[in-house]
Amino acid sequence: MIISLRFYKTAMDRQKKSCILISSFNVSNLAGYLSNDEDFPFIDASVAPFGQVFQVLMQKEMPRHDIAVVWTHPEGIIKSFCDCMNFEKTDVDAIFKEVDVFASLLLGIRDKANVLFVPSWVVPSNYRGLGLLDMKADVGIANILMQMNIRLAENLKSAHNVYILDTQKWLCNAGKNAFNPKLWYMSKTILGNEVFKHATRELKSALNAMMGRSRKLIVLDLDDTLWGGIVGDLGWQNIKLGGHDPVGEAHVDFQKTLKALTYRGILLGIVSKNEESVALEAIHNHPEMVLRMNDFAGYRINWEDKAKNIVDLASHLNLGLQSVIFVDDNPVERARVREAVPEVFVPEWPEDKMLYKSALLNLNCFDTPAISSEDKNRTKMYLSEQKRIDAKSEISSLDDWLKTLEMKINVKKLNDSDLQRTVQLLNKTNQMNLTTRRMTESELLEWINHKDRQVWILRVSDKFGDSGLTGIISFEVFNGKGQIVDFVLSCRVMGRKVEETMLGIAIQHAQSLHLEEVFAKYIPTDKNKPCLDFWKKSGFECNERENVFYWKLSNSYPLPSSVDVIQE
Amino acid sequence: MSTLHDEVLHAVFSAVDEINQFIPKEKRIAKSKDVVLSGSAGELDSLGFINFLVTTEQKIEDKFGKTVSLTDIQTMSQANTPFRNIGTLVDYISSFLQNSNG
Repeated sequence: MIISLRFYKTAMDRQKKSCILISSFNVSNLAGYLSNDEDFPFIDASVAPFGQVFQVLMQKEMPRHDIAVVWTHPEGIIKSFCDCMNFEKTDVDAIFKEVDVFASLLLGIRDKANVLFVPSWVVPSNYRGLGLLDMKADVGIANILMQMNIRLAENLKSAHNVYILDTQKWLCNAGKNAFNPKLWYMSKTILGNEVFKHATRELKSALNAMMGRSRKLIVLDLDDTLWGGIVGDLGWQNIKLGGHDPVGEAHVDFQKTLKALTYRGILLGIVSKNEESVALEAIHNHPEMVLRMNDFAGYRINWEDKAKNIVDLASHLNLGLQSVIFVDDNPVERARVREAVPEVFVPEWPEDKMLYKSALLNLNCFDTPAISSEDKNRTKMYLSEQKRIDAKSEISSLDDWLKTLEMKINVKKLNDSDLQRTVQLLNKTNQMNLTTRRMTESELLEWINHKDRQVWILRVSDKFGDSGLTGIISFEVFNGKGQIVDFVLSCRVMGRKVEETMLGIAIQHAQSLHLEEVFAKYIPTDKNKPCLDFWKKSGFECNERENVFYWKLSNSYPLPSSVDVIQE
Repeated sequence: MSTLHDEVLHAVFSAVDEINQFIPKEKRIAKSKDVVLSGSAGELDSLGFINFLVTTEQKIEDKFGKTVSLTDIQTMSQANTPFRNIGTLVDYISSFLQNSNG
């Protein structure tokens, strides 16, 4: 039997991503940084001949790469802007026309790479332009450059796999070494190596985000981290938090920044060595606490080892340790966690409390390729899950409990509006994932663009709340048989008969096509054993040696009675 | 107590560390006075060589607050080139700094 699975997570992880750098200046140093960097994902970068951007972009036979970066300097690529910089003439319409042409060329190569990055246009920081008039609308160079970048972004916004990156941030971080005229004159390298280092860090961070490898849970210490002082010694009334005190104010600001991250879908948790009642009293009662208990997805406040508590909390939230970051002011605790659970990211943390907020803002491990409504409500979803668990403990039979949940499963074929969230779910789900194949939006679109393939998405809700888009099932007709290619379910709704519903949907579809058999190939990873356990109990016939499951379509697969399935 | 020569050597070695970050692994240069910089036996390609000189200039400026110009034509074309190896480059920069202090 030929199994049509081309994507294997482990192979994908080890494989180097091919990257083509297309630039109007010399970016060989960036290629070196990208290829040498030992952080995941590994990149094999090559450089197109510099100064030939248009020729390369128009090349019909351009080979496909995993990543393309098109980095140009505006005066080198937009002739009318060069005239403007030289104070010859300012013709904003002509500039915009050239920007539009350039954008159309970029759109023309988007299918030549899984992802296309376009660093925004900047001019050297020592270029004063028109000085006093430089921000004047349609006159100043800085103003026109801003409009060019916005125009470019507008032109590219509908392309799912194209991202404009903010070069200005890299220049600010590189400081006085951002531009080096000597490197320009001697090697046509317009930017200093510090800029390339920041670009490398950002590109890696963007790729990790796209592959679902961003961090999802910040585990926080309390004393001298969330507030100043030791609450057990001082009492909650005397901790440093807010008030007319720079350190107190810094802690409030730090909490506000953490709260803002929760709106991006980042969960917060507490692991602290304290008396639980004393710590909770502070969180409940202190008038200047920004974060209250409903901002935390969970906590472990006790005198046990913090590493153990972190593992326990992550497991309780159904998150892998590679999703966790731990923030603690105490270097001994940080070292202990680093040593005991190396998957957890433990950033070095400043001693000065007034630097906490900027340390948090500088972390680049929370990036995501999109923000969905599910992200914004993630903490609420986890708290709803806790209520479900509480309800479950009061009812003895699983079926009885499921009936009390009043579950609704809304099933529909994948469309554009759900594409981002679907890819996000596909790339971050580990446990209930049949094959763990990871795909970008464009790869998924390309895969689905075939008459024999189908992808359904499932939204699950119950009386406690809406869990959002939580399931994906993809199906391919292959040699007259139906294959379930992806079987992905968020851990938030596992064990609630959604799995059986997904199989029922696939079987119904296969029967409507008059196929004889449906099969699924399980690809084992370190984390997807729960998926194997489900399939073994699913009723499908199992070939254990090959990890392949079969269902004869002369038999129907009834949908569970405890769920209300709505098919669109 | 470290001498001026030692401090210059330290700055040049930190430039070596910098450029090794983007040079292909098999072409990385060692932190040794004997590393040949110019001529047919030079261990760096032309882009690597330019990057090394510019980075060394930056390191010297950061450390000593003095601008030593290694990339001008006069320096590059001296008959007794300071770029024979890292050792001769360190001698050249040390001598430049000593004279400019005097």
